[in-house]
Amino acid sequence: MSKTLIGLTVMSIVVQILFSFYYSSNIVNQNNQLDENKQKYQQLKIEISEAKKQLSQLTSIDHFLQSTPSSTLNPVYKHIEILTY
Amino acid sequence: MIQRYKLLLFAYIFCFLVLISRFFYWQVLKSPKLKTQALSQIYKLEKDTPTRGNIHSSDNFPLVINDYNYKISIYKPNLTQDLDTILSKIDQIHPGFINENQSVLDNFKNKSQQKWVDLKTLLPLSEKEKLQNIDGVYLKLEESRFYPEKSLASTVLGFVAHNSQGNSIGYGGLEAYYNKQLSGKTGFVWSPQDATGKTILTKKSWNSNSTNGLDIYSSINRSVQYQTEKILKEGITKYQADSGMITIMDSKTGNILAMASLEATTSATSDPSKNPNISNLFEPGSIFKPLVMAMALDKKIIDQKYICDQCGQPRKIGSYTINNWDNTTHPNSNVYDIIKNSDNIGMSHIITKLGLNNFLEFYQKLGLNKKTGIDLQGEVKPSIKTNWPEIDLATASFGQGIVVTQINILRAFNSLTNGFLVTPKIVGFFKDDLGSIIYPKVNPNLTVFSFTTIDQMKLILRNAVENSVVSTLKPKYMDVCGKSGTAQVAIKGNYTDSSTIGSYIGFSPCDQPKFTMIVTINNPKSSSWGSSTAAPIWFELAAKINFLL
Repeated sequence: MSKTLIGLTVMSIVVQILFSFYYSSNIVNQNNQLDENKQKYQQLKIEISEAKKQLSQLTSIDHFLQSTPSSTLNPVYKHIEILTY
Repeated sequence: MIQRYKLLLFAYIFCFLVLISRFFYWQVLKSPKLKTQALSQIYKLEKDTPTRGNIHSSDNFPLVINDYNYKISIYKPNLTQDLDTILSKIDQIHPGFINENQSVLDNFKNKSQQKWVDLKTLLPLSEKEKLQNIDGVYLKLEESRFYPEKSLASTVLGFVAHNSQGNSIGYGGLEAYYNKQLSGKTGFVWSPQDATGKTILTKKSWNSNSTNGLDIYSSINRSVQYQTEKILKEGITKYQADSGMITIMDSKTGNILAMASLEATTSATSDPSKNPNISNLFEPGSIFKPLVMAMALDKKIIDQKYICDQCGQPRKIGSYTINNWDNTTHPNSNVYDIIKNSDNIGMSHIITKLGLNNFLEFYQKLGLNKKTGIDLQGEVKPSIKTNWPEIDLATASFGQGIVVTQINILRAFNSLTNGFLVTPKIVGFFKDDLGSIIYPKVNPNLTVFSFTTIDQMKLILRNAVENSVVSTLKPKYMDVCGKSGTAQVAIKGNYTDSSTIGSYIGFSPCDQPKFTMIVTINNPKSSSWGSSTAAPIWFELAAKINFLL
């Protein structure tokens, strides 16, 4: 009787220790995952803003004028009047 | 033996009591303080900073967006390589780095007691990735504003800087006026963290989510704004002026399409958050005449058949003489001639007929004594005098002795397009992260002039363009209603010819106008007249933007 009781007690302690190891490692993994996701989110945020910045730079009037050889030319506003009777 | 036993017992009891009292002290009396200290070590309060909203032009192009860069810091004790080797490595990645920070780096190298230095160079993401894992070199993420169109519409946009508490806030323009909407709401997270600073998920945490700032979609037309700044710059150089301002408004809605101001030489003391178009007060001069004429027509004091039979000679009021700008007189002028010739004598007679009370009633209706309510930071309220002797009322008819801002006079003049006083505005709508659109509050338009008055004034103003010196400036395909003005600048209470403000104001086309524009040129040296400085700029710009609107 006493041997069975001691055996059960020891077993329950071992199970408890194993479970606590599993549980704590699970928490650590989740914490690491959360941290990684946070960093990834921050990285993506910066990459998106960088892409937006480059897109806006490439489509700006300023860039267009600097990269177009005809940028210094003015459009012709002259016109002829056609008289109708 | 018993004696020693008692002594030992007494010593035990004493020690026990001392222990209990210490336990009581730490666990009961000091409990709240220790609990707070323990929590502060485990729990950390982190700020969840929202992203500031972007500002777009009317074609949805971003005029201001957020930019993320990395700031470099160096900590001497942690360096494992020679400092010069590290600096030249950074210079290879970011050319010009050493030159940019030369003086700071020289000090850092020479002063052995200085262990830490923050450098002003900001590295983009691509360069930051090449610079990782150098012992003693630290990179910190910095959020800043980026302007794809460089300085375009800078006085309208404003800028963002750190205040004394280290928080980013807007200064000037839209950045300041809509700082609250652009900033969003800061969030907070109070969570337990392990020794490495990572959040412990199993423990209780508290958080209030941040809300990103709203994006602004403005009425600024990027192409019109670009042309406005370009032509203004060329005009200031051509006419050797000190400075200039241009504002263009959508005649129907009051939306500002472009707003620019420029100084020939930028002084070190000039305030970058100041927008002269809404804060500089000046005497409008002859561009004010059409408004006085409209007041008299609206009150039926005069009609279109009015003939000024006293216009053949200068007008004397007390010791003052009112003369025309070219010292000529125009006998028997009608309302068309008075505006076309910019006749001071004729206008002074009309305002005398109108009377002070009627004049002040319209002055208030036109909002010339108050702010327009434009959604930009720094608008100045014009003041109006309380004492009106006869001569002051007479000179007010040609815009002397009264002060307005450019946005003030533009709004008032715009009422001649449809009879309504609109509220000038820059922001069309806001958009949040989810794409929901929020419209700002719109002020109702106020009626100032009747449609009959407006029709009469359009004929008068069209005649002033078609049959005056500015007619040669007008492209044949355009229909323009406008008026030039030259105001002498009062120096120490006296008007001089040495300093003038030349203006041209008008709208096009006269019927159902697309835009109302004002050009103001401060102290031009090549010619002092608004018709030969501001007017050429007005028509050149009008010809270009006519195709864009």
